Amino acid sequence: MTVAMTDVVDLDVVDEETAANVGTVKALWADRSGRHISSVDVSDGLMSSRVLNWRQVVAVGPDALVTSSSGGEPNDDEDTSVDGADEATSLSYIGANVLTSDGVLVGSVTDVHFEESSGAVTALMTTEGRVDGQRIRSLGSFAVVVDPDVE
Amino acid sequence: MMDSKTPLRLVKAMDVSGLPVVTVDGGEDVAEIKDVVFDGASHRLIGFTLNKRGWFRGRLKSLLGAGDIQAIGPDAVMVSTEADLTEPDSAHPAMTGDEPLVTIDGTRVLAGDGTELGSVCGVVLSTGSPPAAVGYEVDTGDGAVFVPISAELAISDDNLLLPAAAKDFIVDDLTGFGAAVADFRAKLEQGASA
Repeated sequence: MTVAMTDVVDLDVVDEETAANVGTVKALWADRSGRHISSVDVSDGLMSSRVLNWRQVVAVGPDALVTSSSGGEPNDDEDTSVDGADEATSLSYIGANVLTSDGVLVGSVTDVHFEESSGAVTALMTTEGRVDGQRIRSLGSFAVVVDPDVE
Repeated sequence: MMDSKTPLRLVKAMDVSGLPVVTVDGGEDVAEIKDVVFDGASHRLIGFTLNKRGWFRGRLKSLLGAGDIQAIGPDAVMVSTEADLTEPDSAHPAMTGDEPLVTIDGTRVLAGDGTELGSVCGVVLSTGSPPAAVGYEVDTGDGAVFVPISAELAISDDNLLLPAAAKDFIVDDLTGFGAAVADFRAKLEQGASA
């Protein structure tokens, strides 16, 4: 199932084993390949937060994000060939510049669609339209780099 | 390889200064273009000197050779990876000042029939991989025109003399110059194969 990042932010975070609310989703972070959601920044409402690996996410529902305290297994299609792909990096997609690999700025990211089970990014929603996830080359502090639109 | 009749995407070299240098593999701005290094004798783009990015920007020791550029766009110069920046000891000697360059700015430009067009005021680059110098911007005193670069250009301390064949490919807008360069090259190829 595909999920929109903006629908996940502010959801309650519920521990699968205790059924307790452990906080709310403050933000989702992506790995440096830009192709996977890597971690969840969980706010406990007390001016502090902690970061969960996306593999700990059991389910994303309309009202809560359910997590497991165990780390889970790596996703089969997770790209671990890129430095930092398996780390909880602090790279945020929302607001990031979108830059084509031929040097053209094509807006900024307003939302990210991704597969709930794997965290794989399927599309970026930008101020200039939709960018297919297959076009993503990398995500850095300056921009998300994408292949030019050949259509 | 690009067909010689395909219009080129062009940019004035002076407009590249100040652009960030961004890595395709990381999305990081690793440098900023400072100056263009261009050899007027061979009409060839050598590369660029660089500045650091950020608040404490200053000259960066690393350099960027033309052959290491993936693309020049209106918003960024793209390199595959940060390793594409070159250290001074392995850079082209012209980029470190160890080899003198012929400066072409201000050189008088003559058409093949001896008519003075004006003086060189800029270089036009193609934005492909690697980018290359494809033309000169000429200040006519009443605006600017663009003339294509070819092996038939003759240069001295006094003049840049255009070949007669270039006459029909001088245009006064950069947008149309890409097609003019492609047409000029196609004409030269036809002449070479005839």
